[in-house]
Amino acid sequence: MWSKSIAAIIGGCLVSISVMLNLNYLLPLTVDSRLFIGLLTAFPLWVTTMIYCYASKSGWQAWQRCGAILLVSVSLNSFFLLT
Amino acid sequence: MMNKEFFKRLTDAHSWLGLIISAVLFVVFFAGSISLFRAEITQWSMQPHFSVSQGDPLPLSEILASAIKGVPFDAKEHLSVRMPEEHMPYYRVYVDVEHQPDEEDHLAFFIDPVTGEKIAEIDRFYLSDFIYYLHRDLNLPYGKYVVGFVSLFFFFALISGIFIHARKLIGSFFKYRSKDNTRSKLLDMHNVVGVMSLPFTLMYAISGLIFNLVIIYQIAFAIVLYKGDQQALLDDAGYEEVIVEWLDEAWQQPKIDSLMQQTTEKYGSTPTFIRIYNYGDESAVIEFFGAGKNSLIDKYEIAYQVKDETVLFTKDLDNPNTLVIGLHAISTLHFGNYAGFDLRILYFLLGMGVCALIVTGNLLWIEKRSRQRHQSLKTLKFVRNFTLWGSGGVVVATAVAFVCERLLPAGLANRETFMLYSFIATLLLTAIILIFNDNKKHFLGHLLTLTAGLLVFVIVLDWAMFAKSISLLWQQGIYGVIGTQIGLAIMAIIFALSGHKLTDENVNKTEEEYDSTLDKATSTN
Repeated sequence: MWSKSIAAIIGGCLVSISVMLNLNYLLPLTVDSRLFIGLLTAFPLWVTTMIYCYASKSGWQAWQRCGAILLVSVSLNSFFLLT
Repeated sequence: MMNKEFFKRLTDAHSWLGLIISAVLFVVFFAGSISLFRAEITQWSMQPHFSVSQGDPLPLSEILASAIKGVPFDAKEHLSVRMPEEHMPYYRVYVDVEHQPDEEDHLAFFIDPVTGEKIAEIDRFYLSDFIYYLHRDLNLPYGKYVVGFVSLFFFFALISGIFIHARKLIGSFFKYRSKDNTRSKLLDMHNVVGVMSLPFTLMYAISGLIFNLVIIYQIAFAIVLYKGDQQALLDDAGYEEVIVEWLDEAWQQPKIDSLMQQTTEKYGSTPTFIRIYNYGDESAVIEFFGAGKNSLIDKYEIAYQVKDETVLFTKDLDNPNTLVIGLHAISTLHFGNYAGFDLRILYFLLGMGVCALIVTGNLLWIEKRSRQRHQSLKTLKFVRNFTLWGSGGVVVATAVAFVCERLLPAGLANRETFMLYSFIATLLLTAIILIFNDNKKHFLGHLLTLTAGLLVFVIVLDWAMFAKSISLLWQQGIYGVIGTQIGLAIMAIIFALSGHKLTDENVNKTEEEYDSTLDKATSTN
């Protein structure tokens, strides 16, 4: 339970930050609207990742799942930041 | 994906995490539900000690002049005023004072709007603020972040609860097996309260998270998107900071009252909060805050240069910032102050429902684990004691704080500290007695009965000490004190009935017999 919890808290937080940053680049809205939408979606994203982690059979699998999402999302972050 | 294993893992996480956060979550919801009536409780605390003057109110400028009289006011800082409102007939002023690094940086007073006289220090009547801070940050340093993470796990418990219960959501909605065994009753109560309060609890989980853990995203955004420029992020977020340089020239005929009038006319409502920077200097700036007619999203903030009445900045629906408006809407939803008193009653009932949800969730955990042979008895005992202490202990400690708030003289030095100690001492005493008590159900029942008795005692004290004053307030149309007493009386009845139910030998005997029959039947099968 503890290893899954660490993955859920840290991994979930990183996933939500990364996806939120992507949303900020992708949404065709004013900056204040993007910030507000980002804030509203961030915590549900975090909790969704937590569900995914706790539904894993072990802490290692929870980290693998988070890692897979993070890999895709951080790649997109890098693309947006560098272009 | 959603196989049996998925539900099992989620149920395990739901019950374990729910258990870990339960005591803090109970405190947050219990204190939060009471804090919905913060203004009424403040009025109940202080009003019987003081009379309400009749006559025309003084203009704002005179109230400000009166506020700084006789105190070491630091004019280069702020002078803030909260206007009188329905449950508070006095101005509340917050004066920044010259101080040493380890001293208090401000003084706060109630000021009579008719005479301009300082009535008392606000901090003397700390009960309602104490309960609110208990809700907000447990009255602890960094408690805000503790409450934030508890909100995160609460949000998780809600979503995982939906997954666990989804298949039976509609079919079992009206199911309550009142004649079945204890576990069935607890489970049905947990599910019914959980489903019915879901929109409310989701709103609280998300808004609580936004209030307490927003810093995480703020830092991430500032570093990645704004390349470390925190001010640029704050600008986009609609945060305006008033920065004024002290000119050391006395102001000439400042038109504070005219600016107040101008703002009231512009927005059609009197500002609720006013802050002045560099009071008395030619550089002074005055900022007005208020809410418009459509109060869920309509708020305004306007800053003027006092010397020439020029507008420095405006934040309102004509100059919208989605984040500012959105956060205001979330805050209004959270505090339930966008409609009348009846809405707050509904919020209170839902809040108390969530307290029941927390307690039943813990009892379910204990009940389930006590049937498992490999479960450690020490763990079970600890969880049982902790649940009782976190719920019953906090309830009775709050009632003791109400008694102290009423008994302590208004002029007593450090009055608020005595009230605070009474709360902590009651919590400690409950914990000690709890360890030596074997019948936990009876103990909880006795705690609730004691709470009911204390609340009735508070009402008796009110009338014994302030009968004349309370009657006079009623005649003047100030109903906050008697209104609070009615609330306390209703809570006393509910606690007394709950206490009686828990200590009633006949009810407990029937339930125990039923449970034992069921246990025997289960073990035979």
